[in-house]
Amino acid sequence: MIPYVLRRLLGLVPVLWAVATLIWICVFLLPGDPARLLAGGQRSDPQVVARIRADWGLDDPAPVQYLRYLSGLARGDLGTSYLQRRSVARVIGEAFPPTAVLAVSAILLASAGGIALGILSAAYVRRWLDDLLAFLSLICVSLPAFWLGLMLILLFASSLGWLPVLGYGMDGFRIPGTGIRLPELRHLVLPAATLSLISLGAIARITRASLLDVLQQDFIRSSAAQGTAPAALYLRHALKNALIPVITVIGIDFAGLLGGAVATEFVFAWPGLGKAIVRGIADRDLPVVEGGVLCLCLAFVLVNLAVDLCYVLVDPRVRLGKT
Amino acid sequence: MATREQAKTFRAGIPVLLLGTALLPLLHLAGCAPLAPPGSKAEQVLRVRMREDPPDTDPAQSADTLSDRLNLEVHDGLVDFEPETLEIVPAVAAAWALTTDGLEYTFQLRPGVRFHNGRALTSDDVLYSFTRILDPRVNSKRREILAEVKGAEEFSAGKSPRVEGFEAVDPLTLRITLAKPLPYFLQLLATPAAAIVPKEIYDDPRKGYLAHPVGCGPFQVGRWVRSSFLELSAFDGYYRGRPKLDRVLIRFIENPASAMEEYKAGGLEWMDELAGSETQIARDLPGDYRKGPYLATHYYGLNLARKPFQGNVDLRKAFNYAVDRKAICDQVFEGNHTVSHGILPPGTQGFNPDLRGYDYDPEKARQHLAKAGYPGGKGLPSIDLWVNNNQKLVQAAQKVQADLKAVGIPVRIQAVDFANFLQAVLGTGEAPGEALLYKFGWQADYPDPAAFLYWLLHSRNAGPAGNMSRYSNGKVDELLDRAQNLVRIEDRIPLYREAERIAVEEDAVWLFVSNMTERFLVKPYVKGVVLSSLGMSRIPFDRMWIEKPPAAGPEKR
Repeated sequence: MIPYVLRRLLGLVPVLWAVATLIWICVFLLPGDPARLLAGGQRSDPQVVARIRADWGLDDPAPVQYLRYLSGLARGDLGTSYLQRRSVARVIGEAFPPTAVLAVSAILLASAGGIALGILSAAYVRRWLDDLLAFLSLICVSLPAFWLGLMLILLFASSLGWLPVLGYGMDGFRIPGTGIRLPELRHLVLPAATLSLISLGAIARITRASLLDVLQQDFIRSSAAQGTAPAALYLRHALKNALIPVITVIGIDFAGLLGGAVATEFVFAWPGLGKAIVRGIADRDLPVVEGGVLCLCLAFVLVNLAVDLCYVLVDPRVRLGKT
Repeated sequence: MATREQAKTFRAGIPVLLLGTALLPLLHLAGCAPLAPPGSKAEQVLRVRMREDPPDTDPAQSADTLSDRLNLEVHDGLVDFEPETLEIVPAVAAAWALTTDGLEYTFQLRPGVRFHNGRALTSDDVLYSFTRILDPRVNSKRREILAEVKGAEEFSAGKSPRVEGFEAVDPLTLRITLAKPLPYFLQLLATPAAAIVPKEIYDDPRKGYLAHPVGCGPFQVGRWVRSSFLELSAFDGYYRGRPKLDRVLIRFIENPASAMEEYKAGGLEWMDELAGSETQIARDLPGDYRKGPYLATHYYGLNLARKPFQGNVDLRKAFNYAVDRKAICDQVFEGNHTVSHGILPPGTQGFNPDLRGYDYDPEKARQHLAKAGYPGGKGLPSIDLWVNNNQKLVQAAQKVQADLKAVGIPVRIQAVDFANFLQAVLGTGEAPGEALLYKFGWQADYPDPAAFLYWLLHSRNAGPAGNMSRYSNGKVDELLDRAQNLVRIEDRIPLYREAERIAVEEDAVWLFVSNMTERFLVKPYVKGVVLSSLGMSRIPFDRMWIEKPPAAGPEKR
């Protein structure tokens, strides 16, 4: 497994280079002048604008700017935020953990809920409960996070008063030596639930389909004929074999949640990376956009690698790196 | 490669993992007991919503309302505005004197003023702070506030090692000499950029002051967690007396709808940029809803450097007669804007209540359109109306579009983000941008008529300095220059009124729309709120107090 992992990690280099180049081109082509915004926006002194351009190298030819960006990346330097005037690595270091915590919580909730609902659906296939769960799953998949978040706020925070409306909390646990601040748990509930509901539907549907497929196979029939209890049949025999496509969906969804949590972050004032990137785009804080998107791409690739490794752990028949 | 044993162990762990995950919500809920409010016992805490982190905590760079809000609480300058009356009142300077030629100011500093780091403030600090604004290495966005000081230009250009017009007479006395009289110089010194900062902090090449600004204002900066919150705590050594509030907690909440729910739930005492129907909000929260005058104008700029507006005053008048401003104020802005007949909003020194401007008259619009060479709009190319992507502004633009279409003027709306918008309006260099018609707003930093008329109309300021329409009229320039050199406001006002009349009634430089008001929510138990027409950032927190601590709610932070 180790040589396989090393090979995959080495393969990341050209992928990241291609992604970094694509990001740089997109960001470079964004209309709007960062120097003008930095100089005060609508009322900006042309001399100040010119000095800002020179200071940040924005008046250099495009190839020079690109090479400077790449050489910075090669040295592990993501640059400096135009607006915050501190390193992008630090900006990301602060904004990525909240996004990661949110995405991990959401995917855990979605996986637990989705698999449970998928099993129920499969167990009651073509009966009213299956139809009801199919309907609910469809609703979950279709709900926009922005709307769903506000509805959850109105119900659980504004009306019932059970949970905080928004925010990350001020007194979350700080991981020693890392500077990473975790959210207060009660602040995590609504954003994680919002984000998880969207994935939950998809996971429930794929679990149901995969499980029904496995349940048709001979080893399940013979096991049932030998008198295995239905619960054991579903959970011990069928589910294990149905997990591969479910893991694939969970992996893809998790990677998507890392980059796609921005609407949830916006609604719940969650200090995450998605929000930082969107703000970076609005303010034309280009280094933050480049670094943030690159970080999300890296996370996406690593999550996919982790999913591949999970296949081996779940199904011993799978051999990595072999056809 | 995983061994079978490892795989078995992993598989055995799956149910535990699933069970744990399923229980997570319960664990979460267990931690949901309501917190005691931060304002409990005797502690006085004001929780304020801010859209996002203030971009510039260095006062020399303060050029937006969020940065101004923070900088005005952390820093003080020589003088200040009384928020309601906008009179100049002493701040760090206890008194000042001006020579009869209007050139030389002598300021006497209060003894015992200290920075947050405990050091006593002296005249050297004032001159350091002001020199810093003019220093080209600092690249200050607010250089214009001291541009008229003698020797400022030479210093900024690197031709002189010091600013000739600055002199520290003794530790508590300083003298500032201007190159020519500037009647509103004290008003400029009351803007947030003219704050006094300690040299030992602001000379730091690593710029630690950006994260931990240090000033001599009523509040000092405590914890600042980006995108989450910023804590200000009362400065015990504040020279005007310790603020009544112990803390101000600024919470960064970008989405107005979420902020509104947080406000209603009791997690905020103060919020602006209200979401939804303000009529409804005012009805639902009558004790909280505040509205006050605002020295700000909302207009549609016309690009006078390009055809078809260039040299075609009839076309510009046709635009003005065609648009029903009252409908925009009433329907889109829910009565929170008032129709503007000119450039200066009510409350500005020199506001002219007799200026007629343009009434809504589609028939007159058609007549002027014909005189402009486009009868019934024939031959007039479709004009893009550029607007910053904001729901209300887009709605207002749609109303303008409909009104113009009714008289035969074809308009397309371009709703874009602010950076894109600026590029379209200002262009990237000396040349004007591509936008022919664009929505703009202008708010005053100080109440003098020059804050509007000099920056928006003088040809010297054509382009990004303020005159984005690139309007140029020699007579208006001359009137504005004369007004700049007179000391008494009574002598200046007739000149400003004439300049405004020419720009509005003769030249129709813009499509004039409305004057704005400032609206926000503040809990009724917050006392000492003093409105200011210079905007909400000018409402001082140090005069406020909480009459009774808020009852414990579901969420207090």
